[in-house]
Amino acid sequence: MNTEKIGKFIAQKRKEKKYTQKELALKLGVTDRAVSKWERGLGCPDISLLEDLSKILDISIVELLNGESKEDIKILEKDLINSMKISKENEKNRIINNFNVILETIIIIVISMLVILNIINSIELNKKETNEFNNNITEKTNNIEKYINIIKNNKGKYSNEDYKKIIAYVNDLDKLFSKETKELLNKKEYNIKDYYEFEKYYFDNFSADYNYLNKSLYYTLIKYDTNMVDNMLKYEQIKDNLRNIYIGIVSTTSDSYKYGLKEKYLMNVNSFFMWSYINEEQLLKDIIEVGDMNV
Amino acid sequence: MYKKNILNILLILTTIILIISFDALNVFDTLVYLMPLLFSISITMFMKRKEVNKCKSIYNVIMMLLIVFSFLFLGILSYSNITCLIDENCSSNYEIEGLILLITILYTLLFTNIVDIKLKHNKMYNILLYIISFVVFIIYGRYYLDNDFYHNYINLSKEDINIQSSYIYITQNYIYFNIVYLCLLMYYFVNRKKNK
Repeated sequence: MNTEKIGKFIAQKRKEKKYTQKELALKLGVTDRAVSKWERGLGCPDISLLEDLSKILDISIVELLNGESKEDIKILEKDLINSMKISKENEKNRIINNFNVILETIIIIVISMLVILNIINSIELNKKETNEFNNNITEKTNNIEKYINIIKNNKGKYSNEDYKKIIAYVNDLDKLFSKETKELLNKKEYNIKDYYEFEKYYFDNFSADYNYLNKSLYYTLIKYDTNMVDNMLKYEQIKDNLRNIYIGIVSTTSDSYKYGLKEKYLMNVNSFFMWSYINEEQLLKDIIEVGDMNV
Repeated sequence: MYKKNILNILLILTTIILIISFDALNVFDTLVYLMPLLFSISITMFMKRKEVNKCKSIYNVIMMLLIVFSFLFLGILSYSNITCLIDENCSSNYEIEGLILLITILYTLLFTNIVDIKLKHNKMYNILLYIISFVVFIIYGRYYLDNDFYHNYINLSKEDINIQSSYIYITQNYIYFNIVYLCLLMYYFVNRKKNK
């Protein structure tokens, strides 16, 4: 019990009622010294006096014992509740903020992983494709060179006239393995200028009816072996497709270079070469097979 | 209404269109993209149920019906998967679940953003959404730029381009997309009450 607080509260209420210490003492039936003692906080009123004192000062016994009026208590309670609410909200906000930080870090980590994964993948995909293509193209060129050597050294079953035709074709084919084409094949990206140069090279070095010449070679093969009809049809089909691609891509792009059009796209002619190599390899194989040149 | 909210909605919408157009072109039928719509509508309706005052009974009935249907679909999906665990000859596509989850999350994000168009969002939410959308656009853009129209023109070269392998390189990102967008959706819901 805070006697000082109670004393101050009694003095405050007495002054509000405009009593002197003596008057209050008279009403309670005690000495004025006792009243001044209470007000200074040196003592407390007796329990038997509490009821009378509270009635005189117009306050409740609880208020008297607390040393403050109810309104003050209510304000205090409100403050307390408010502060509790604020602390609760703060706690809630703290939890939310922590959760936010966790989510943000997860999102950023996963996004960075995503970016790294995609970069690695694109590099791997490029490597894989170029490796596969390089392996295939070297295999094909080796095979073709081997076959050309066999054909040049052996006459086989063929008559002199037919053998001349075959040798003319083989000499034409040798030009496909010139420095220019090999340089073009080693490039990763193709310029519009490359197409132009390629076409120029192609026209300068090959006879205009180059494609038809190759086709007619199969007719001579059929003379020796009738089973070659299927192969001829396949060869012609691929050749036609290649010519369409050639007209569609190489000619149009080289034309656009000629007329000073802007470079719109880069693309590779790898597939074009690949398919023509496959085709020529098949023809050479058939020539060797039909003419029994292996020996 | 905030201009940033409209931008957010447009970003989410374009990512949805990108993912769906890519997948619809390559593998799945269109029905796969309607199922997530059911889930996401029921989720957004459930989220907004306290704020609806008019025709509350009708609203509740529709919401309950949608929830029941979505659970029915989930049941069918999980049943087919469980049977596939036992039966070896069964041909279930496990990729489909990842895709359904991803599109459900994206639809939910879109609908909630449309419903809360008047709310001011957390600044960090906007920034995160921009970053994710940027990354997604780059990934898909690279795919579409790689396969330009010339590759389609040359039917012969499809083996060289390896369309199948580049397709796998996109679909393997779905798990990361799922995690990112799920976190973003959680982030959105956590901060939604705070922003009100």
